Amino acid sequence: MTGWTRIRDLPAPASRRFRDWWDRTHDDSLTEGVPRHSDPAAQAIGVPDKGGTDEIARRVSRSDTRADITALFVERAQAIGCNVHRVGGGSSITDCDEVLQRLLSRITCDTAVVQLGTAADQDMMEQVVRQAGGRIVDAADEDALFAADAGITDVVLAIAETGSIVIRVGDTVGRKAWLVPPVHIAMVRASQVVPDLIDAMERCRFGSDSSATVIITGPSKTADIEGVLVTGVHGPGAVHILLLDDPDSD
Amino acid sequence: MRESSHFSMKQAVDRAVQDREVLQFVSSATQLKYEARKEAFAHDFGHKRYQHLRQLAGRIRQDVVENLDHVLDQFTANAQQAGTVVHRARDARHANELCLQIAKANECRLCVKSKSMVTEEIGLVPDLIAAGIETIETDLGEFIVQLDGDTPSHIVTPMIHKNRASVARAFVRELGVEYTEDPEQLTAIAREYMRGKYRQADLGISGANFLLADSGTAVVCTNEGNADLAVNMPRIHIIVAGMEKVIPGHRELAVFLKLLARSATAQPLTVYTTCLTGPRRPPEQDGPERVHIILLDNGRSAIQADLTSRELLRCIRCGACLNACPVFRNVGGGHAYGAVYSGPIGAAIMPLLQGLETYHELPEASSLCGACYEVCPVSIDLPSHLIRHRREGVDQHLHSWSDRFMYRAWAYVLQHPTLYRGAQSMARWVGRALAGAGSSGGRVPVTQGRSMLPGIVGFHPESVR
Repeated sequence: MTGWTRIRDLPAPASRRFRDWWDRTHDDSLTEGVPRHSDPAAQAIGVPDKGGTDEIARRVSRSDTRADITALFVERAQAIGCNVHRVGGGSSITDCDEVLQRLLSRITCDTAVVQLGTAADQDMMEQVVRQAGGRIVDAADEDALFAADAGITDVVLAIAETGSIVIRVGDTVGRKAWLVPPVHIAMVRASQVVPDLIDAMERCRFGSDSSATVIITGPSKTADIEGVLVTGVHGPGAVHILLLDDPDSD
Repeated sequence: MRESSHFSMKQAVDRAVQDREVLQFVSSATQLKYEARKEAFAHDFGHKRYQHLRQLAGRIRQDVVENLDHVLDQFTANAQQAGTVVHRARDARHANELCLQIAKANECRLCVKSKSMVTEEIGLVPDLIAAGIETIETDLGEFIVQLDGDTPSHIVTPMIHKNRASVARAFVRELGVEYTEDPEQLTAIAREYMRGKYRQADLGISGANFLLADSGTAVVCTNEGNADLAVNMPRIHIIVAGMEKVIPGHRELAVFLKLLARSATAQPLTVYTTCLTGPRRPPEQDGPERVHIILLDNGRSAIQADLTSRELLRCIRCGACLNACPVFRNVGGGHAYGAVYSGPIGAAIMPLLQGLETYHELPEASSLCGACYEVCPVSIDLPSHLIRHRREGVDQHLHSWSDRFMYRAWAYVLQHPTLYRGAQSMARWVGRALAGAGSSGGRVPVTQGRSMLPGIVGFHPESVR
């Protein structure tokens, strides 16, 4: 038995049965119910039926199941390099007036592009920017847009798991205000935060009423030159998230 | 038998290992990425759930690949409904012609291009430039590679083989700026330069990471935001994508987005995940007037037709297998492979796309350790494909006569015990001679820092008895 080399010894008896190991590492129930699109039945109905996939994906991929998703969102957004300014106890822009003023003066915002979803928000925000000594410029004016110091937009969703914000391009929010200026300030309401990427996908409805949806996860960055992380390559180098957190609003 | 006429990996590797600095850098950068990726999955999912997720992802992709025509038709119909013009290109030349036609019909002069491996595959940029359309790569890495007239060496981080000094030199030479080695300043210079180009550009070209069949949406993932500018600034936008990029819908997209950025760069998501469904719609303020999607075949339908090879079309080009591969790490990156797609996935897919005769050496550049399979987010069994290519290479007599002679001789010796024993004592003798005390011959060139020890060279059956 103990020959000329230990390698030739018989292996030690397994500490547990193979079946146990298999059951522990291969949970077949998780992929059960995922329809095989190659099934003739699935082909016959034309569209591959995806029922069940999202439920399975949710079970296998929800990374953090804590209940307070707003806190999770703040934590993750900060982890990927966003500045989160949490304003408690209010849901309108006037409530975060003070925070905004401070922020705008800190980034020395002389001109800003403001694109918010509702006319009321838009008016209020423009007022706040003017009070801070800033000038409002129109995104359609390309020279002014490229010279602007900040772009202020709102979002349709925020994703807690990744700390992302989701912008849907429409008639109020365009494609450049959040992309071209060096600073992006995003208004997020706590009620817009969803737990997981999958929840966001469910609500995005690509193409139904908008030609573009963008999920933004932190400031524009690159590590192309010797792996050194640099922010602000093409998009904004700083993303500020104003989180309006009103426990009574919903 | 024919020698590979176009390319010799051996020579390319010999060239690549000359530069010790690059070698060192590529090795440590890929190692870091590999570790970071592992850490990200362990932290966010845990081993077991990660395994489930990649099994699920692999299965979704496999289902798509098996029903590619069907899913593509669905994508095409939905994309057309959203106002996108969908083209199908047979091969590289056809795709390039389509791009040029679109550019000419819209009188485009300046093109801003976002990083895309498939446009590297079809060699689009040289064709555009030859047709008089100025084309700027906008991904910082690709931009620097373009300034140097070089080719990308990694599918995710294209200039992994360059250091900051060479970037600085390229900027001084090509852009006429002052010499600086600070990555932040270099990035700022590139930003300013490219903003000017973006504002003048009338054509944008990008790739797509995913195409969603249920809505006709193209999904582009970038970290820099260059694809967004390339989509949003010019009038016309062209998306060039391999036809296998299609996935059923938005729910599946969540599964793949969870895997893609973590596998590639250990981020939870890429910074900009842009989902484009057609050109701008009337109430919207801005955006491209026309959006074209070119679905590229270029050998993919032949791969799809092969029951064993089609698994390779699952690939989502995350680059995790490149970072994990010990061979890729030690040959100074992708240039040694002499192919658009490098690393294990390149070694498996290039012989299928461009012929085993040209690329039969690539599948041999693997230790078959299985690291690539282990990290693959869509669980492609890469080592088995590499072995299959090797076997086919042998069957087709693609190896040089010296290689074949050597292996034949070895096989013969192994089958004859007397010869084997003789060869062994000879090997031991040679080994002792090489290990000769303190002589420079004791150092084996490929394993610098290690030397042979007398007495443990070879296997000694005699000592056992």
